[in-house]
Amino acid sequence: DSYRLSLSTWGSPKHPQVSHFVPEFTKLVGERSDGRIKFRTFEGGEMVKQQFVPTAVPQGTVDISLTTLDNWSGRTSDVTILTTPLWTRSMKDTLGALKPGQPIYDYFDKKLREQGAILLCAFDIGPPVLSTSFPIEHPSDLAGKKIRVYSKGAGQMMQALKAAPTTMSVGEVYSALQRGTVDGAIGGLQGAVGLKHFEVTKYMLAPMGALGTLIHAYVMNKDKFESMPEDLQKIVMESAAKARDAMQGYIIDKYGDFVDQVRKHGNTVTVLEAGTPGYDEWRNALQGVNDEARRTYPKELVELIETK
Amino acid sequence: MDLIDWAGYISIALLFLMMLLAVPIFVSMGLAAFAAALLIDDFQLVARTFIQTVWQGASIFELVALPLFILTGTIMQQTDAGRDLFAVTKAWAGSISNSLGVATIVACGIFAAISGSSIATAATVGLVAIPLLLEEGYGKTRAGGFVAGGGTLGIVIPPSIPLILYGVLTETSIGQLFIAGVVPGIIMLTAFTLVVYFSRPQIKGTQDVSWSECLSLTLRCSGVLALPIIIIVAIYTGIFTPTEVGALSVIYLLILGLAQQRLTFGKFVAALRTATATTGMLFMLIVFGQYFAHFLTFEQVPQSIAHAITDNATGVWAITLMILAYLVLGTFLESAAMLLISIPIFAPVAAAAGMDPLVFGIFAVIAMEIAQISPPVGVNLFTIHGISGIGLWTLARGVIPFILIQICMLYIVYFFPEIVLWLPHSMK
Amino acid sequence: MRGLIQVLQPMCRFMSIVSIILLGLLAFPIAYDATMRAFGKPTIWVFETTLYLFIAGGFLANTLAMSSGAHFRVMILAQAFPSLKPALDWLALILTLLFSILLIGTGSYFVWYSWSNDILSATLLEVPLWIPQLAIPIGGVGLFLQTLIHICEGKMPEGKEVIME
Ligand code: NA
Ligand code: NA
Repeated sequence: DSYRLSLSTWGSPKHPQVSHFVPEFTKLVGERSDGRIKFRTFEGGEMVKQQFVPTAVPQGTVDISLTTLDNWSGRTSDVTILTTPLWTRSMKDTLGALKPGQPIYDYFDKKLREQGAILLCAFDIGPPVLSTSFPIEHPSDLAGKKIRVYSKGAGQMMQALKAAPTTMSVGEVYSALQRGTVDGAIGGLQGAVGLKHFEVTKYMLAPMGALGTLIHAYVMNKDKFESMPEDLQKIVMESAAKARDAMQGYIIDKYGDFVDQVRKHGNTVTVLEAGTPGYDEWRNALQGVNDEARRTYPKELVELIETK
Repeated sequence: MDLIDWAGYISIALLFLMMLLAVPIFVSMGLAAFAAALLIDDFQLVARTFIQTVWQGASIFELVALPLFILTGTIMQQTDAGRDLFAVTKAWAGSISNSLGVATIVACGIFAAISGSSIATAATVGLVAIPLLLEEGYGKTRAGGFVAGGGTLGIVIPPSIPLILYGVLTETSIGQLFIAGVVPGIIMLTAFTLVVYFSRPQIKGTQDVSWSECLSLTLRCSGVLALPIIIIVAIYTGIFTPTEVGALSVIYLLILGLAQQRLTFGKFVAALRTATATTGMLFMLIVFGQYFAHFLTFEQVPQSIAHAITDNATGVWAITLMILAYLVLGTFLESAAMLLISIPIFAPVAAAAGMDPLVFGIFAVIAMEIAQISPPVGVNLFTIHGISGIGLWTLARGVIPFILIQICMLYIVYFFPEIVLWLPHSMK
Repeated sequence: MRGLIQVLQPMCRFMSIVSIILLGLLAFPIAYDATMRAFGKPTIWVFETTLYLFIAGGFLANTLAMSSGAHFRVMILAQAFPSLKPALDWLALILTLLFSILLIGTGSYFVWYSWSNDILSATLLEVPLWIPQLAIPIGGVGLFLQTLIHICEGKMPEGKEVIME
């Protein structure tokens, strides 16, 4: 029996989460399955846009897709804990901690299975950055500023920091920043660089985990996965893990280069290193969000996230 | 060859067959893709994919701008804005040759800068202008042709419903697309005006209106005349998003209509009714057109066709091939269906030919303009026929010069992309 | 037949009125949000709510579009061979009816799926998605009833409204 799997991604195909995963993963699976598994890949969101992945994958509209874990908040609310500042792991820690067999991974894999999807791999694309038109160094700089947010979690965080979270489509963010419709935007570093936000902003804050991080994943339709014989299931999982490790390593190596690109384009970049007073200032400002999170999420999960 | 390799092409064949048999286009698109999908997958999966894609295709915030820009057009119709605009342009055109024809085209251009629709533009101006043009001896071919042709400016000069749709399909900034349409729109307005000015018979302007009368007339109509400027400035400076501009235009026209005591509750309801029917029609086309395009993409048909084109034709030849394809499609498709079918296929071809997404957007919309005035299926022709009774083929003769200008414009946009890009790139 | 039409007509008219109201309201929250943002206080509810208003209005407006003949058809064949027109109308009506059944069926399944899985929108507003999704099967019912009326009448309506595209 041979299987034809559709694999969909969104956002820029040049983002390392796509460019350093999809070719490697499909090549590995193809080789190791002796061509029993073939792929149709769709890069750039023409098949499923980001916010629809949590229904499209369980429905089988596509078999495998890139997703943010946060996008699943409408189906399994626990995932938003990953966008809270409770998550203080560095990307290097995440490399080891978000693997099959590790408790955090297994926790969310189980949650997604209840919703009809399998977690093929999960990874950290790095802490989100704030690209702004105003000087940003201290939490108080955000007060009253209109900030475009990408998710519920980020919106709550901005509210806690007294900013006004604003929703708009990705395509309009560049011109909204350019023309002052919003004062800033929070989002992934590589995405902001890819969309050239630095052309229209003056400042960037790279909080290096003080505001949490961005966990993305590749997920697969559960029925499709289980319809394959066990040896093929194993090949898919192992290939995903291998391609993911390489991609995660690449992202860790290149994160600094992306920050430098923003700096090179004339933006004033503030990097908050863990343990410095500046970093702690932001942590303290978000204390309330963390306390709230500790109350909201299951105890078991909070412990998993907070113990290293 | 597997069935799976043919399903995409089968869906295209089914689509054209059903359309030929006069099945509503949105039904044809939905059923063609659904039926073809059943050839390769089981019913449950096909049905789940269908509804998932329908929901995705409907949940696009940028589409919210559509009913708003449609409503601005219908409110203007109900409040006789066409009469005002035409009165002003007629007064200013004064005694120059063919003044009435020139006034018609310029009135279309101004209306185009408020409305997102070419049919609204043609209908609103046509109702006032055609009787007067006929009275002055322009003849049916010219009178109808001027309005049908001038009306197409409605979708190149912002705001523009097809540009919103293009922006949604290609994820291009709609604000930038709108601004990109300004210069090509003005060039076409100028070219149209010159065609009308130099067209025989050289009818003298009949009336000389004094400067003070012109000014007072302009002042009296300044409420409507100010709106295009407000819209362009609001979008250009980014104070508001295109959707917000649509909402604010609606409210502006409501207040203006009430202040001028031209908008009664009954007229407002009539405007809403037409706008709602139109939105319902467009909405279904867009949602099921996206489902059809989604299926084709899944079957990798657009990719194959695009490759076939770019392997065999590059640069200006690829462009010429696209223009020919658009001319053929445009004879029988209206613009939303045409965009939905063509964009997935031609966008990669355009990219391979080095066209910027903004440039291709304007290119595609000019192609839509041609479609709207080319027989036998040209919605502007139908509209003018509907309001004036002028025969379809008489109208078709009248629009020939406009079609020729539009074809030239397609090449101009390709060879001189700066015409399109200069203004949006200066938005910083 | 006439009795059936008299029963169906008010239902379709009701749906048309609802769609007119929904789309008529659209401009106000958007203008409100734009104004509030200009004062530095953007709302978090307008973006999503107006989208759902629009979706509901769009699916329901289908009834009005159908009754007023706004849906676009390619009439080349019917114009070339007028004697074919009745047969083509019948085909169009039957396939539209089939299509509306597809919408009702799949739409109801989608609503059930979102409802039984408690799916919320992944935004600050956390709207249960089955509510806006309800517009799909209801819109399908409107299309079904309106098409049924045309079948009873034995013809597709000619265009009455100006198509504003
Ligand atoms: Na326009
Ligand atoms: Na045509």
